Amino acid sequence: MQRMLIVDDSAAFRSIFKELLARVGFDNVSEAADYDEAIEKYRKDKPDISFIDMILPGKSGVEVTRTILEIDPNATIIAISSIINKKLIREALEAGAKDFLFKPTNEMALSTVIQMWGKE
Amino acid sequence: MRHETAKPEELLKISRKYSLSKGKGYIIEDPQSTLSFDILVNLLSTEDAGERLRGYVISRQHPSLLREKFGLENTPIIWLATQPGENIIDPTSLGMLAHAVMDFMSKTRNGVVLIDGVEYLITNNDFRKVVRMLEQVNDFVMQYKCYLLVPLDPKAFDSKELAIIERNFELIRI
Repeated sequence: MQRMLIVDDSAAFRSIFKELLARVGFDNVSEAADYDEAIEKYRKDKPDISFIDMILPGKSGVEVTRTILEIDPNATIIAISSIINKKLIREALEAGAKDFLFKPTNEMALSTVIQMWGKE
Repeated sequence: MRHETAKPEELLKISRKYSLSKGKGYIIEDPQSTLSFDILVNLLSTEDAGERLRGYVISRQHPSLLREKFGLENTPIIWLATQPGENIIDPTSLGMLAHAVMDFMSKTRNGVVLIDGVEYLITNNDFRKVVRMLEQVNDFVMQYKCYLLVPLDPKAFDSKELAIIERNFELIRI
């Protein structure tokens, strides 16, 4: 079973996203609200895919992405955001994120991204 | 309506997340239209069998809000509103609306059209006229191999109306 990590400062969004992941067949999910918690959870749980909101209080999602990739260069990170800001998406991809999902996402988009980037 | 100068949006190195067929119209049961705009942006930001797609949006939402939220820099956005002005179409002018969309499709070919605000059109027109306009546009979609996205709130219609609207379209539910 693949492990997932959701990094978002909104508890409500994490809950919705967790439900969505469960609906597409993934219920091994850990959560983090900010940079520090994200790094701690990543080190502890070693998720297969990390979904990281690009706009976080304090250090941004881009910084979370960079740090996780320093810890684990093979990490799979999907950037998420409620605005389609191309500069932000470019930064996230340049920092090493594999893909981008618009919030709130849906089963179709989420399944495609997991199929594309998740383990076989 | 300057279709010839409409440029494609910037390509982003993201996945094509939605498997839609060219030449088909899609009714998307999507009360807030967010899924529909996500589909539009995803189609415009990724290559389509090696080709770049160009977008065209009709919406009740103000263009500046849509540009800011969805990062649509080059896509023409026509605002459905009753005041006069450039790139504004009155909701009662269904013929002008259909003409604008069909003109874009015939000139652009690789087009993705999003018609957002069907409920608003119906409050300003006879229901059957709006359906006829959508079907007319859908015929063009087939002819010019474009994509047509029509979000709507299913709760705004009774079951008979919904069946009439959806009969010639593919249906996407959230």
